[in-house]
Amino acid sequence: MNRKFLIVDDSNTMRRIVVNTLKSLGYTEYVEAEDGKVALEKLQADNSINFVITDWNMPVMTGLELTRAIRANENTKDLPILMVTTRGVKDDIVQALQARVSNYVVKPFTPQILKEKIDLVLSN
Amino acid sequence: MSDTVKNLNEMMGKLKDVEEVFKFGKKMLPVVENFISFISDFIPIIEEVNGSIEETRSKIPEASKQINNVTNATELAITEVLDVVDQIHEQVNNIDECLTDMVSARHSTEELINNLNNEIQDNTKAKELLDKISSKIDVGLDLEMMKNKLKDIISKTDQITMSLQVQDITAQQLAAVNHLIISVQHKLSNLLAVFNLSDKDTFATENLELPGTHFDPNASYNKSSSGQDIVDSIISNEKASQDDIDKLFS
Repeated sequence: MNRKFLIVDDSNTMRRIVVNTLKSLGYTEYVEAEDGKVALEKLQADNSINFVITDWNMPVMTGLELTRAIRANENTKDLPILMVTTRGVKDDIVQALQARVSNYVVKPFTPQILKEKIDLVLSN
Repeated sequence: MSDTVKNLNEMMGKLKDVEEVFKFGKKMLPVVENFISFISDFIPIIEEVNGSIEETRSKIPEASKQINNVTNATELAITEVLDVVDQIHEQVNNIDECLTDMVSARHSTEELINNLNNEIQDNTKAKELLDKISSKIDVGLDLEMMKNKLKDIISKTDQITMSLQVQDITAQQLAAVNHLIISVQHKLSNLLAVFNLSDKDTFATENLELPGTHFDPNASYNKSSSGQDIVDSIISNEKASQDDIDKLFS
């Protein structure tokens, strides 16, 4: 199955780094969004997106709010969501899990970690 | 006792009270004088403090602007670095493809030389020439080693790319500082207004709009895997109790 990623981060640098890492892992299809609201619009417009990688801290709509919105929508509730964020304290991680992210990566990450988590999410 | 005498006694009593008040007032006079003197000395100090607060407050927009400039300039520079890294990737991939073609061509040439060698078994002179050609082709070109070197270059550029995540992390730290100093500006403005030392509407520089808190104030560039290990432990204990999760952090 082809994977089309939606990469959501307000940092242009981070989006590029994630894109480059995905390319090095052999994933070439992706779309980008700079906040949760734009991400939701892209999800509505493109039903071929089947994996979401999102940051937490973003203007307009955070990654956590985006996750809740995706899970609340019948069409997108089962989408794999990988949270990639600097937030590494217990309460944040628990909060993200309660919002039902599929997995969680702490920045700065390595390509190996990103690959491992993508593989793990897809295998589940 | 007649009413007149009674009234006179009351009046005398009140006059004594008045006398006591005057005596107290006489004693208090130096204290009041000292207090007035103190206030007179204090007013310039308050005015100086007021000036300092206003000066500090007015410098905050410039400081905030400088912080934003640093963030923007860093992001621009990082974008340029990423562009160069992408170009290096592309060029290395091109060289790698060329090397692959060369390896393939070399294998074909070796096969041809072997075939030719079999055909000229009895021709000593031709065999000598063929050996010379064969040795020229080998000229120490270890193509596989070169391909491995290219893999090293790609690996190192990947490391550079990953290290550039520091930009996102420092941008969040700077955003937190920016938020803090703008909050300080608002507090100073309120302080000046409360003491009526300055009218909020007459500030030379207006308060900056408090930016949103879309940053992680605790963001840090930590390359150790401890942060991810904690996350992984929590995820693997997802169905465990809160106490079990707490133990991971103790």
